[in-house]
Amino acid sequence: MIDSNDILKQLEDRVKGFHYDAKTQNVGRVEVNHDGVITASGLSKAVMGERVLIAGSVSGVVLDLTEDSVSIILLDESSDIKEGDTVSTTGELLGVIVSDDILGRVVNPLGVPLDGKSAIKKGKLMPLERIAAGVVERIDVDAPLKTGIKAIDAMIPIGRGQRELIIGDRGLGKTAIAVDTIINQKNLGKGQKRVLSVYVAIGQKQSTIAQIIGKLKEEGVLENTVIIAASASDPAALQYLAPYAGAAIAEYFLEKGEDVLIVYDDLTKQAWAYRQISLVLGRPAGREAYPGDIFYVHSRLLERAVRLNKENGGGSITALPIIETQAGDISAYIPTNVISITDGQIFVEAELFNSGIRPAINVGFSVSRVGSAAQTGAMKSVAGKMKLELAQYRELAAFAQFGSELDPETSRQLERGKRSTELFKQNQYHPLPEEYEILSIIAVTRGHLDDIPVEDISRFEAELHEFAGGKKHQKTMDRLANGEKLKEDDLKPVDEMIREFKKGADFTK
Amino acid sequence: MNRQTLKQLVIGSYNNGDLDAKKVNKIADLLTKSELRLYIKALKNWEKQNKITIEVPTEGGFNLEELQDVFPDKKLVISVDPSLLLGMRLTDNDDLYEMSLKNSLEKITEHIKEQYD
Repeated sequence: MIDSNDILKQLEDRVKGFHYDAKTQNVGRVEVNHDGVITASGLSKAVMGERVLIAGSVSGVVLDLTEDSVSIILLDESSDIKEGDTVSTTGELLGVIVSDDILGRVVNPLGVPLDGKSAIKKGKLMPLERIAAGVVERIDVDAPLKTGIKAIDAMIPIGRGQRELIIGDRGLGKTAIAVDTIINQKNLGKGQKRVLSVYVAIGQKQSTIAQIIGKLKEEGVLENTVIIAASASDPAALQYLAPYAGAAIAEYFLEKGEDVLIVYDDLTKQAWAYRQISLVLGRPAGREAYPGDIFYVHSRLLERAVRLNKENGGGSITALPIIETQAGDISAYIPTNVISITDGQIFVEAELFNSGIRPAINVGFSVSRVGSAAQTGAMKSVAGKMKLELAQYRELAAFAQFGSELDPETSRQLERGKRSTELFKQNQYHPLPEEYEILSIIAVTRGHLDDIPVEDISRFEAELHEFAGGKKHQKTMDRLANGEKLKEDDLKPVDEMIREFKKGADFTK
Repeated sequence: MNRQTLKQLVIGSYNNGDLDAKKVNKIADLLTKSELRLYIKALKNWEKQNKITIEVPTEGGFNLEELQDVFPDKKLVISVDPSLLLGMRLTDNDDLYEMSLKNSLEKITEHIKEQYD
């Protein structure tokens, strides 16, 4: 039972919490309302990035300060605003209220819920714009962030705290790679810290966003994910701010020492939104009509991806920005900018997609600048050989096109290459735990697939995984899962297991 | 027309603190269309900077002379806004100060909402 003194104390605290001060505000008047951008006179004390209220209810944010006017981008619908309306400062910088309750929620860039549940009112106000952690607070990226996609984990490994760009034309599976990576965070390796996910949807169709939410829910990962949605029908200002809101939410968990994965889907649309705002603001247009500071818009955002040292909590933010190219042109303005900012890129190609290779990752153009530092010992010991064999295959395949007679070793390498390429095909929404990825790679690099017809590789792999999942082979699979470097002695039981599987199945030519 | 000239024209448009229609018209006749726009904007700004608007719930009830002593160089303009209930709202250029019963009630409502949400 609550003591009467406690009740009285609580009431007294409430009274103490109320401060009455005269209202002081810096005010101005709307001069021009131009397509979501307001020019206001007055507001001499407004600061950059400050939230303002127009006509007492509509929110906006200061984006330009000149000698006698202020430019404001609207964060709400703007149809009712007219010349002469009052604009008042709030003294608050734009931020989003975050607490642990935000996990599993769908919100807009201002933290307003879009999932019909109650608003998050109690929590920490995280500023949308924030200077990234400095060099002293950071450490090297050396812990893997598993995507569950064989081609990526083996050849383009991503580390916690890395920025890996996913780039390619529309409809080639860029979002699928990102969503698979989020789904795969439920397949945690032994002793690995959990990874929370933030998915930022920018300028997408509402139906696409709903589909992604549905899939994450179905896979049981929505409860560890925050969705920030600024759809195509939202004002350009919200589309521009969405990635910063995502970063702010990720930083809340980073401060708590968590590892966070953030997907910006996609930054091309954010650049379009920023270009629209800048042109309306009358800023000088540069290449492809983008404003001069478009590089800084992306670099300051992606610089917030970080791996902190133990003294600063040891958390990390891994960023997977997505960029859409036109006709595979990665030398356009925004793609080259973001390629230069990130620590590598995964390039998806239409030609591969159309020839049935999915995920359509062009391994030649893709790179991870963190490299094998972001792989477990086990993966490192099998992936190195795989990369070399595939590189040799690509070179030989180019020569083989001339139709000249090939020696048996070259033919063997070509056949092995075909099987490796086939093995890297993977269905959407089926990320694999690391031990199964390693098992598949061992199967191909140690020649177990050499006598399997190429068209049967997928079936072979699926059935092998099923076979390996049995209790009998648990010890072998556990050895592959523990992440330690694999020696020849460790591979023998794997070879045995694959041979045993092959005996019981009919796959040979 | 530079800023200095513009400022001189604005100062010259006043006679004993009041805008002089004759002077204004004379200046306007000499200006081009774009210069005239700048002149109008500068006059409006000058008016705003040198004027204090005092909104009160009812006419009278306070000492205007006392307020004039607080703002000796500014012109005081009184207007009535019954929604304030008690107190006053003072606008000095783009700064607004509100000491009214309406503001107090709004703050109490806000506080209660925060406490009980």
